[in-house]
Amino acid sequence: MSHMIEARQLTKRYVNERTGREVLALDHVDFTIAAGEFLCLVGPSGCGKSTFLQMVAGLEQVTEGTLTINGKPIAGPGADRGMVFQSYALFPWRNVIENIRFGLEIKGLSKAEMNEIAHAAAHQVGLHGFEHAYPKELSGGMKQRVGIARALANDPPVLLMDEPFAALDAQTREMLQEELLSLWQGANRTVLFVTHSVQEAVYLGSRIAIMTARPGRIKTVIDVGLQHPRDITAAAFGELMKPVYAALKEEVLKAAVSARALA
Amino acid sequence: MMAGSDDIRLRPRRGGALRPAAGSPQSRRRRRGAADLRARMQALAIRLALPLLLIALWAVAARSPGVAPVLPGPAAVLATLWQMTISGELFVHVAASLQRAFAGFVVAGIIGVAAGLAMSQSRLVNDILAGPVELLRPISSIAWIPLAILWFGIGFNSVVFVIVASCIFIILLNTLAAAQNVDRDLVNAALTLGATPRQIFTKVTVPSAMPGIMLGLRIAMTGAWGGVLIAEMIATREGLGYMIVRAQASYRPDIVIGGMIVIGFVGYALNWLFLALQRRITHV
Ligand SMILES: Nc1ncnc2c1ncn2[C@@H]1O[C@H](COP(=O)(O)OP(=O)(O)OP(=O)(O)O)[C@@H](O)[C@H]1O
Ligand SMILES: [Mg+2]
Repeated sequence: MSHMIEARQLTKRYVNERTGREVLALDHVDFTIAAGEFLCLVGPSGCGKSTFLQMVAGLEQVTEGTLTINGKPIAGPGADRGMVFQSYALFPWRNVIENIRFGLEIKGLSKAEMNEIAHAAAHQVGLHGFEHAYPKELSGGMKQRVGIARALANDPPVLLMDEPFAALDAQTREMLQEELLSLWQGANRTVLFVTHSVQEAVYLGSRIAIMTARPGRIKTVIDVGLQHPRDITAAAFGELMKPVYAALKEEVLKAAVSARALA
Repeated sequence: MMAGSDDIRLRPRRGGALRPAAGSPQSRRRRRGAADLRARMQALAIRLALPLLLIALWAVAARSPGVAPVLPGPAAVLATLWQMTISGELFVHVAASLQRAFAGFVVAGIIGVAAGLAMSQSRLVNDILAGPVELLRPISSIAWIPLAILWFGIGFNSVVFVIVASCIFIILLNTLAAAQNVDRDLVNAALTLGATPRQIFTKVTVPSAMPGIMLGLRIAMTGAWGGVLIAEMIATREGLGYMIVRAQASYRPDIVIGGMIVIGFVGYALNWLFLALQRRITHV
């Protein structure tokens, strides 16, 4: 069971509490994320990618317009939309299994059920043998595996990922990308994935949405017609990267110009 | 591979800092041998050097003409302490002081942590309590003694009252600061895992504030041990504080100095005990 997410004329304005200054982060965004697709969101820094994700998660309020999931307006956070954070956001006082178990405790499962699911999730993301380690004892890659397992243990129809691999080295990132793909293909799950890497977007996404410089809108959406597993050295892969890269570069330059104008 | 990590984590560290478990714990333990023992003996010698020097200086000073009556030597003080130990007198005083310090510390801990958490969660509670706390906080523990005696007379209750007054604020303020500074991402993670505000409080805010709360409690415990002695000097008929004040009046510098040494050692032991307990129950 997967879910469709729909933004209609979605606007987000932040108001700085101290200065009263307003920032228009998203400006009348119209966009639909199909059920079961792997959507990659790219755009210049500060264009509102995280903002969009946080609104889908229900962590940020909608200023204007509507944001719905399967037709129902998003009113707040919920276990149906799991999130993976760039900063991992693991609970440092809980070991790996206890971290993964968090959502299951919230659901009120029995101890036996919780442990079974948590151990399966740990196994799935390659954390076998580290079940009782604490976050501070893990490498960045391991921590993010815990972050992913924790979200997946809840079996959310929607998975939100905000630059989850940005802080990892290239080898670890590739391994986790691979694992994420197999996790997504196995379950019919909608993934919304923010990244700054065009290559990562083309490697992972069913579609790639490129956002404009702030105030953020959807500039273009590109279909990635390639089958998994994708070969990043193939000519077709390189051809697909080109338009994404060009569109992104255009917006990054615009963002730089407006930043200079402000300075 | 992680099997040995528990031992590593629970090993005592000064200041409560924890060494990350780098490399394989087992292989490191196996390498621990003669060289390690020598290094440890050396560290011990360095730590003992200054105390031993001071004791030697003390012994020399005590022998110089004229100071003998006011400065008994280490041997004389030890003899007195030994005497008081076998007579059971020392135990009575230590037990009385510990009992009061503990009672005051527990009362202050319960109220301080509860009030700090309540202030962190409720704007209203914060607005009500913040003013009074800031007004009462600067009043030193000594200044509470006259009021304590007026209200509770001489004895257990007034000493406990003074201790509570002298350590509740540090507990409260540390708890408040820790509970207000919970990482936003941790709260967001819990929210996206379905947690309700109440569950955020019990499963995120409180455990995340725990190191800060523990720090406040540890500082307060030292404060309670200091406070009990001050209060006992005035408001009781037994306890270590009373013991050394009475010894001063009856001109027994050996008991005064011996009492101070016991106070120091008990304080040290309390701190050590606290850290050991803390390491058992937290992993951060
Ligand atoms: N809580 C907030 N209060 C005020 N302004 C905010 C807040 N969060 C974000 N903003 C502003 O909204 C705009 C969009 O921020 P957002 O974090 O969504 O960008 P982003 O696309 O995720 O950027 P990056 O790629 O650097 O992560 C930025 O100008 C940012 O300064
Ligand atoms: Mg962002």
